[in-house]
Amino acid sequence: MKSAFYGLHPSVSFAYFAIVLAFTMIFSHPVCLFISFMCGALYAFRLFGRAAFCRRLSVILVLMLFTAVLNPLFSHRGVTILAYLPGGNPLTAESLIYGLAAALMLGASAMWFLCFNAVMDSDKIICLFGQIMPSVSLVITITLRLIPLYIRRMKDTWDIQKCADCGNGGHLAKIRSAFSVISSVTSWALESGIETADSMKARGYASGRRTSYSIYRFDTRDALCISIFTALGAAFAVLAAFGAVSCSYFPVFAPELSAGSFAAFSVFAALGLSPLILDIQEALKWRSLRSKT
Amino acid sequence: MKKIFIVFIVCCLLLSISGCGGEQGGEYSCTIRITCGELLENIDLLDEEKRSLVPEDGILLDDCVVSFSEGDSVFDILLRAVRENNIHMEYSTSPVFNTSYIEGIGNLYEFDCGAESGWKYSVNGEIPSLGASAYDAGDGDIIEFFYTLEAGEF
Repeated sequence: MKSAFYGLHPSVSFAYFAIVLAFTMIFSHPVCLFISFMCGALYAFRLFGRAAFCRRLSVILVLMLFTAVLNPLFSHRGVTILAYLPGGNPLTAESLIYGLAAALMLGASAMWFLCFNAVMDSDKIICLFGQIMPSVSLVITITLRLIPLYIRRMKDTWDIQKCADCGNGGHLAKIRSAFSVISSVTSWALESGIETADSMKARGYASGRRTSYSIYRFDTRDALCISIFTALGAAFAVLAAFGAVSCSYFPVFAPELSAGSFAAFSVFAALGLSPLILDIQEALKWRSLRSKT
Repeated sequence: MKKIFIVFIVCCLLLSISGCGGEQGGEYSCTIRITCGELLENIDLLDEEKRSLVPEDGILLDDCVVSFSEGDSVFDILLRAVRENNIHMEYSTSPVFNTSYIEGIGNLYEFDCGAESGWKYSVNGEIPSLGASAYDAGDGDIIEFFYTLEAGEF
């Protein structure tokens, strides 16, 4: 299930993710963070499907909960005292809210990075950075490939061990078996590293300037999309520069909620939802084209 | 599983018992006040958001009589006073030296008003050369905690 946003030129997708992630990390207004988190989660749901999304969501939620609980334990600023911690310092509503906002920021960034990884595959990264920094982008693509590869190999080795009745038994047997899995996957990785190097050498790596083949063409739709994204981003940045999304957490929690902030929220929501809007638009177009024939 | 549960309950009980130690009143009494007059004079150095926290007369807590028992430090008295009057205070404790350091009272923190700003205290008009948690209070003492901009000057 490929999304329409996936079909855009890599530079457009990259610019989009850069803008959204930057806004998520810079502006700490709770409504902005919530919008960013929801949009990121919706698009991740669209990209990964229900089961894979729920699996990732549960990990992110645990991380968020941890962050939210941790902050009020160490930060005691704020005028609203709710209770006293066992250490004697006050537990304040402001530090609780700040912890929640920090958790939301972490969750939103994680969601958008999930989407980034799904949309920006290695071909796109090579296309973007192959000309500017050829060796770095090659190393990045090779490294990114290694993570799923090693996970798969680890699983294979583990399955074989189980078949050979090695991992069945007490805890000690399981731990021993896990260690032997790690050791065999490591030697497998080292061996395949040498093989990769040999085969790269045999194909003439480093014998001249690297060129890379890319199948992407910057067409009118890409131009339209990037102008919309930059326009939305610029509108939000201007509103933010006038303090529309400023929020002070300490000593008093005072989020800005003026007409300008609501304008900024809607612009940000439009920006966050644009991949989904693009998908819906494409689906509608597809349907109308089909029904005509 | 059941054993762990029982151990947990016992630990909770122990904690709650030890947590109630400081509540009883004592035979002595002293007067404590918390002021930030110096901050009031240099209000333009303070962050915009914090200015509303400074009271107009510069007094966070006016003369307040606190009863205590022998061996209680000035810090213990301050802690009791801010708890009773619902004033915010943050401090850090070093268990190795058994000392406490006051970081901020009423959300006015050290370093909020320059590099040498913070909380100090005086007893009967004199500034002791001891930390507040090491100085034992005497009967009838007048304790004042005040915000200073020059920690080095006496």
